[in-house]
Amino acid sequence: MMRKIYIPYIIFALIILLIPVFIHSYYYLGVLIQAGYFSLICMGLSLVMGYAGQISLGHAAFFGLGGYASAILTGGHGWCPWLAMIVAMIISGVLAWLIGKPSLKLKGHYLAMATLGFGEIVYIFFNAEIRLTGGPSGYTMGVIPYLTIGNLTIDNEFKHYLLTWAIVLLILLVNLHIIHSRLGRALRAIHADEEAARAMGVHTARFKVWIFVLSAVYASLAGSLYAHNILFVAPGPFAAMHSILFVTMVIVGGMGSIWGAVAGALLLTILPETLRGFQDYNILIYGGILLFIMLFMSGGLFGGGRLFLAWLSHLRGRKKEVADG
Amino acid sequence: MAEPLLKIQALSKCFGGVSALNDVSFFVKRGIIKAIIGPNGAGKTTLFNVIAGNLQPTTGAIYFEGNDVTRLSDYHMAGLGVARTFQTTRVFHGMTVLENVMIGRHTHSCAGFFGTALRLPAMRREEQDIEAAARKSLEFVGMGAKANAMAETLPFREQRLLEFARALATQPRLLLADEPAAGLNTRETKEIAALIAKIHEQGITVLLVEHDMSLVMNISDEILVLDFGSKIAEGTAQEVRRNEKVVSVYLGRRDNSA
Amino acid sequence: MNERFFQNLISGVSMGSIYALAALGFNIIYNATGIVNLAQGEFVMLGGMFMVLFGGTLGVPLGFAIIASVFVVTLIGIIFERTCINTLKNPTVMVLVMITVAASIILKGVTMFLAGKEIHTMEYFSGGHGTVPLWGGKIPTQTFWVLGTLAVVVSALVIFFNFTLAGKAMRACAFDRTAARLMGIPARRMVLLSFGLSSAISALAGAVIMPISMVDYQSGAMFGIKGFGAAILGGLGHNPGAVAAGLILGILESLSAGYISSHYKDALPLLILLIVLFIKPSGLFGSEAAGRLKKF
Repeated sequence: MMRKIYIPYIIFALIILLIPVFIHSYYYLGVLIQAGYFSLICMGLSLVMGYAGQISLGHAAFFGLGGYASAILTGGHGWCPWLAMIVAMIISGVLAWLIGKPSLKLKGHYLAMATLGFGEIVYIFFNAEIRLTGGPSGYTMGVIPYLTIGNLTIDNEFKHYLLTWAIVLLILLVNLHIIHSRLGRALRAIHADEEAARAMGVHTARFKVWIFVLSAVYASLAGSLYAHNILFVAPGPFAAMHSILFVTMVIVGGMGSIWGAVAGALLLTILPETLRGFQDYNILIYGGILLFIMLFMSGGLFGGGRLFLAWLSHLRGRKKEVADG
Repeated sequence: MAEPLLKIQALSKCFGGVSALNDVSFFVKRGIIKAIIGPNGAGKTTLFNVIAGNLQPTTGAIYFEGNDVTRLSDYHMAGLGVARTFQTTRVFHGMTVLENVMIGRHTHSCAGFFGTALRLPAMRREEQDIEAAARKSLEFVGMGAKANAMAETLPFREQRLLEFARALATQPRLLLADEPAAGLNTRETKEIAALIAKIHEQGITVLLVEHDMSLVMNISDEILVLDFGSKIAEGTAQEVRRNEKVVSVYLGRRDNSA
Repeated sequence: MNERFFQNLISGVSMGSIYALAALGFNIIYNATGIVNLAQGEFVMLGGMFMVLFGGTLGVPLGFAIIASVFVVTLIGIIFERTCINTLKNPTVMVLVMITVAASIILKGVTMFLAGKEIHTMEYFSGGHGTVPLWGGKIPTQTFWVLGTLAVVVSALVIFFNFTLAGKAMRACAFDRTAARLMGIPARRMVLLSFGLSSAISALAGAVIMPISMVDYQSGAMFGIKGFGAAILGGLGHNPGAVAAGLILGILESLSAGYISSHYKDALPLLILLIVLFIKPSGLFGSEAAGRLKKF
């Protein structure tokens, strides 16, 4: 059974890792790097939304926390970037746990608003704590260093691309493992019918919180990578609008599929770049896409995937009946 | 007398001003099939929900295998060996029949995040065990052939069987069956009765809530009758059938206070 | 010392009135449909924007400008309901949330496209930017317009819900939609009416606060989330609670800005929202049922 999962994964990984052989433009690689960060965030969100069935409209906050924590610890206090990254993930995880525990008892709109409110508070914090974060103009109190692996400094788009996507591919593999396991089944059960899941002994509250924490850790990781790439952090990319954008990516790709998260992230990062002058209308277009999908295709691109596989196996069953006469 | 499997002591449940359960006490001996019957609104489902851990009783106590489980919640009870099926079948949509039953093995497996993330050998072995146990459970209820079907595509009767398979996969010592015959026709009801008898043969104690009298009278060792949240009779099928209070509750009283 | 307190208090009551009106908007839709309209704040913003257009740019006389603004925004609300809400069949929570989020984004985007990113404002309805000295503080004359609007809207709603057939029908829907339909109340039309009414109230709120707080394409977000906070604090669906909570929220926000930190001014209502959701989702006055949400 795992072979069915590994083969597409290996093909995808090969394609991703071979892209720099064909694309040398730092601009396009940069776009793909950004898609990588968003894939990381969206995979986490997909676990929360598509598998555990929760809504989070505040994930940009964790992206920002990762970025700022890395920036401040490495730029302001000279920490080793990898250590800072781990500490940032821990901070985000703890905050996600503190927020998640009370929030995930809420349902539907209440949860949406709680996460939105949380995201807004963190954004206000980034803007207001000028002495710590540099405020609206961004962090300028120190110089954020590049990441280094041994003697190798990750200092150009080519290296950033490989590092980012290596991490994304690793996390993708981890997520695939989780989904096809007792943990993944428990998550899907929680989404399908929480009370019935509890009747089976699944500690639903704990699961929901832990998957939320995991998604926050992923987002924080993305933020740290971002900080060590752009070497600058400002509150802008961490506003509520971006939280909504991430949710849109997950929905476009199809909530119930981790591949959908990656597809959605790639699509909604690459597409705007191919349309010049998109910048001004991006809000409008994202809203339009979201609306369209919600009205007509709530399954998203990959949402039909599982249904498609089910239909395939149904066909195979039918063929067998015919063959048996 | 050996310690009863389940002991309900002076259980009461109030919702606001309404008393749904009133000082209900009874035992369930190990290895029997006991049915709870009563007119609609008698409090049967409330009683079930309190025992299963979905609701907290207002007063009273519940003992399972000698331990006080009064305040424990539903997932806790499931872990202790109490499984339940639901009146409206609640199979997990979006998952296959096999996956549904595999959830039943949740409390008998322990692979955590790191073992799963790295797919360590122990985790892989556990997955194989889970799948094997799930398939066995499916075979037991006769659904082995449908392992790969999506749960929501099953006809009603099979969804009911799936719920049983899923509950059995938890290897319960007590099975709470909430109206297992609800929505089934006569033939299907007989099949469910046979299944419950088969479960009983495995040594599992069954407590069921049911309206269908033929099922109740045929397979129950003991019957408990509730009305307006209070126990009004308890005993074997013979005894209960002849009990005057029970008869009047079901056939109506002259002053029609129901 | 006293003057500053009073100044903050009055400006808090002023903003609080808007949160109260926005909260009423949330409640009306929620009561009739069980839906929480996350685009509510955008209607407040649009009310302000159109008021700038009609009353400011086009120079239409005050009364007509107000009517025109409210009318246009109500129309937008109705179009939103017809195209996005009415067309859904048995939507899941996720779909409902994301549709209203999408609508809010689109409204915001179109506004930015048409009105630009600048901040817009207008002089006070009674002319200029006059203030009235009161108990040591300087009260902007527009404040009286705001308070007056709140009073008028609340009175009108009381009359509507208690003495008109349509209002009573809406209350019936809020109480039990199925029973209401069995009584012959057209549920779909009630939904439409609730969206229209809610948009109208929000538009009025936006129009009347705009001369004080100014408006730009991004104003909707804060109105929405704080209005929701007020609705929750007062108990979702509980109208008197919404008014009280809105005023409380506005006053607390203003006092915190005056005495603690102006940078975090917006954070306080959000914090209160989170605290209420975490500790007592039924709010100060709401029922336990409200705490668990009707539909979910």
